[in-house]
Amino acid sequence: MIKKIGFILVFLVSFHALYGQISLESNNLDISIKEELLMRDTSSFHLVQIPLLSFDIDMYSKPGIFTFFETRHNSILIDLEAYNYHVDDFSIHLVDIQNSLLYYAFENRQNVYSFGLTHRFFFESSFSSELVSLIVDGNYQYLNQTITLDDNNYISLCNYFSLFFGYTKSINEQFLLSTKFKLIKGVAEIGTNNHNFSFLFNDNFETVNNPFSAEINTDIEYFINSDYHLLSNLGFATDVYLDYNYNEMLTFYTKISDLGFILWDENQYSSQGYFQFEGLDYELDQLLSSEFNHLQDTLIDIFDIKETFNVQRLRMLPFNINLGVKYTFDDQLSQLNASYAIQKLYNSFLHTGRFSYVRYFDKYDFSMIPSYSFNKFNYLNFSVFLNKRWSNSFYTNFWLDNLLGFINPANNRNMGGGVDLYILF
Amino acid sequence: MMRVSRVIITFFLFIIGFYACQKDGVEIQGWSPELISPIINATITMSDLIPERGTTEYDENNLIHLAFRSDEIYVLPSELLLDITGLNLDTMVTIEQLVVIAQDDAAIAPFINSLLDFPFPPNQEVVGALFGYLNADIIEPFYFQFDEFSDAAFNSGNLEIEITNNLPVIIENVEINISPGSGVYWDVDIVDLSPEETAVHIIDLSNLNITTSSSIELDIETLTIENVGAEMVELTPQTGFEFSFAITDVGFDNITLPLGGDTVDVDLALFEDFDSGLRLKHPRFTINIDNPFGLSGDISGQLIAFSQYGESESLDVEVGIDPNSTSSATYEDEEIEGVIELPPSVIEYEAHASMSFSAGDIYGEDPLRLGVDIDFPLDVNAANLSLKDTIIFNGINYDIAKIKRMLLHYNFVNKFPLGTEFSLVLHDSLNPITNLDTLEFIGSGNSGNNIINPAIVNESGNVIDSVISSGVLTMTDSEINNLINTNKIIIDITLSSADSQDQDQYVSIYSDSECLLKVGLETEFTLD
Repeated sequence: MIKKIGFILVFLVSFHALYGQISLESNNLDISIKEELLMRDTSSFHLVQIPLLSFDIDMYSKPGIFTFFETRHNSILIDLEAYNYHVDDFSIHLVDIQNSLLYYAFENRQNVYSFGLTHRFFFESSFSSELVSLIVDGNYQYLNQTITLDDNNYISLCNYFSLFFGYTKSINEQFLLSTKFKLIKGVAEIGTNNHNFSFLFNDNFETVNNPFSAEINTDIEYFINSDYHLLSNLGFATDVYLDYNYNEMLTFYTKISDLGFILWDENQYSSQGYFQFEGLDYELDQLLSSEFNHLQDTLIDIFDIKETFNVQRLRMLPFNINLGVKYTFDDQLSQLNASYAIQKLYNSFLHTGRFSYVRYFDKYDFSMIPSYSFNKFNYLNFSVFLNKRWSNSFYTNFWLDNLLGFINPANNRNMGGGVDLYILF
Repeated sequence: MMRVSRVIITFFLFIIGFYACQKDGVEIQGWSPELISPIINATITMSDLIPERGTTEYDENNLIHLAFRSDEIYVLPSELLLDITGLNLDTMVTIEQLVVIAQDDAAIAPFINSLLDFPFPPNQEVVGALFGYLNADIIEPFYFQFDEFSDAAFNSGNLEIEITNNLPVIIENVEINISPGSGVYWDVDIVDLSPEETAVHIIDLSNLNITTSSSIELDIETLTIENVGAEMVELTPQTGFEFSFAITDVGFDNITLPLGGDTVDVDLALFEDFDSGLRLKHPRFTINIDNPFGLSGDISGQLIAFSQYGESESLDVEVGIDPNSTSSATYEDEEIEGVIELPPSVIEYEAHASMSFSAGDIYGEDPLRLGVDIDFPLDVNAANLSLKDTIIFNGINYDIAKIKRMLLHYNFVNKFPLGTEFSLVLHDSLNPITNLDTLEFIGSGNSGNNIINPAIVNESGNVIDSVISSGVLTMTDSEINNLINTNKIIIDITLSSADSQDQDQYVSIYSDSECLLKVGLETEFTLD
């Protein structure tokens, strides 16, 4: 059942990377943003998005989520052994959900002004194969090997609202500029950061030492936002869309989303320590339980968690940069798009290339846009975008990402899709 | 049409809501980590197993000794000796006693009984003719018992014998034969001894020898009492004869005093840990005598040691006694090896003293003291030593079903100079009668037996290097269950010289000798 709900959710959400490069107007393949749609439609001056029903979700998982996740008898089964088996160098899990809660735009003298409220939930985790294997299979396999956990091991989560004001203007017949200025309100933030974490377990059979010994070296930090007041965790970001019509057939564009920051009020916890353990030293005149408590105290001292409260820390938002080119065929019913997108991750970038083909069916005011994209998660990502205009004023957009993933769920490393409903009047 | 669509939408919303609100359980599967970890480095010293208490002592080098010293195993007080030199015995022969004896003589008993009331009232008058029937024939010999000595050779002294007539009539004649034993006889004749009159007779004891006797025999051979005819006389229960013996100015060339026998009050708990056959390199048993008197002589006797199984060994001892000085006799090595090999759990003694002294040699209030000084250092050769100690363990609250396997790897660093069997006895204090399990640490290189080789020692028997024994205990489900549920772990160590490098080698057991048990865990358990 969970799988079914997920399937329905996928249909109900939108995929913003795809959203940025397809036509939003069934009979005008050059229109890529809603503000431009309002600008070109001379009969309408207002655009309202249906509240709470427009959002998009983007999920990446490497290994694919269905390689280790299944539902059975109302239970969610997580197969850690399968998870471990499918991790190559490191695992990564990314969930990006963007909800458009309110959106309103109006045109005034060829300028479009927009206002709205959006919400974004961005979660990212990464675990190296060594860490996964250590947790799942234990440390026996790493006997006499040093396990070093690098900065590919982290968890990051941020959750924030954006109150934006947008301004769109045609600079001339070739250039269209659309910007949004966002006041950010951070809601929640959690993250871990591993600098240098290493283990070494040795065997010492037939020696005067303990048969096993351990060396543990930690240098990790954890942070969580500390303030939940309305005026705390504020930030600023901007969206920029620039469209350049080189000629009637060729258009270049770029779109930058959520380029900004939040000044988080957070509590930081860090632990740095080195501990060499060769067994609890115990003499018979001691109390065993006391010695275990003493060892516990020693560990707490060594790996003492340094707490720093109410620190203001500026952290970048997970912005996205999209560069693309569109080629429109002479019949004005077909279009080819090519784009390159960069998604900022916690300590790296996700690079995605995409090719789309737009086919417009003017009889039905309907467009269908199949696309192919590739990134490090998925080299065969086929998606489809469906656009329909109803009664000249109501627009519905549905799209679904990674169609092959439904055919072969075991190798499904990303899911995405969305819906966008709005009215022009 | 609209109504149908609304119904459909409502239906789907209900289905979605129903399933969305349904609580799903999250189950983890395929999570069975294999872990290794060092656990414990337990140091077990000999002082843990043989604590210093009671007669167990550590010397300045921490060598363990069974050491005991007592200056007063036996005390011979001056009063006892003075009782001997001033021996004073008193006894009384009453008419009532003689009447009792006369009851056996059918010829005179009826007549006597007709003349008096028997048993005697406090006071009665009888006809004086009664005494005509009392003669030596009805008086059996008397014995005056003394326990202070049994054999004595007198070189001086007098025995003063006093006979007091408590009869209401005159004792006209009495002949008494006195014998202190061993063929010595003294005759005492007394004539016309009036009522309330005392006759004194003195015997010279010089050169008198008494052997194996502890009593004086007194035999009245002739007794003639005044016949007062029909005259009435008064009798009381005390009417009779009184005899008194007193020794004065005595001197002994030799006198034997029995010192008796008893258990030597020594805590031999240390030996309880040893099996029979124990051999110590230099055990020493010393008897000390502190003589504050002017007497001399010697004490001889026997020490009898019993093992806990009833076997016994004895040791003959003899110690000279010098006037106003201390003296001692030491028994060591081969002289007491029989006693050590038992090993003893109880030591008893049986002794007597042969002394020469006179009354003037006994002075002061301090007694003559007999003490012992025992020192058994644990320089052992043949030995089997079973030792135990206890670890309180709180157990682990864990579901054994989740443990797929558990192995305990260990390195046993043996610094004990004897072959070592090491076991952990798992115990539940709520069920103290039975042990839950026993984990035996059998080294991989120990060719089937569980004796871990002793540490390497030098010629002096001191440890110069440790011996390592490694192995792994593959725990069964039952053993795992018992291990995590035990609340008391008994360390059971048996030390044995059986595997010594040199069978003639003595090794020293020091309190700081130790063995190190270093245990690491290898386990696989499921966290599903």
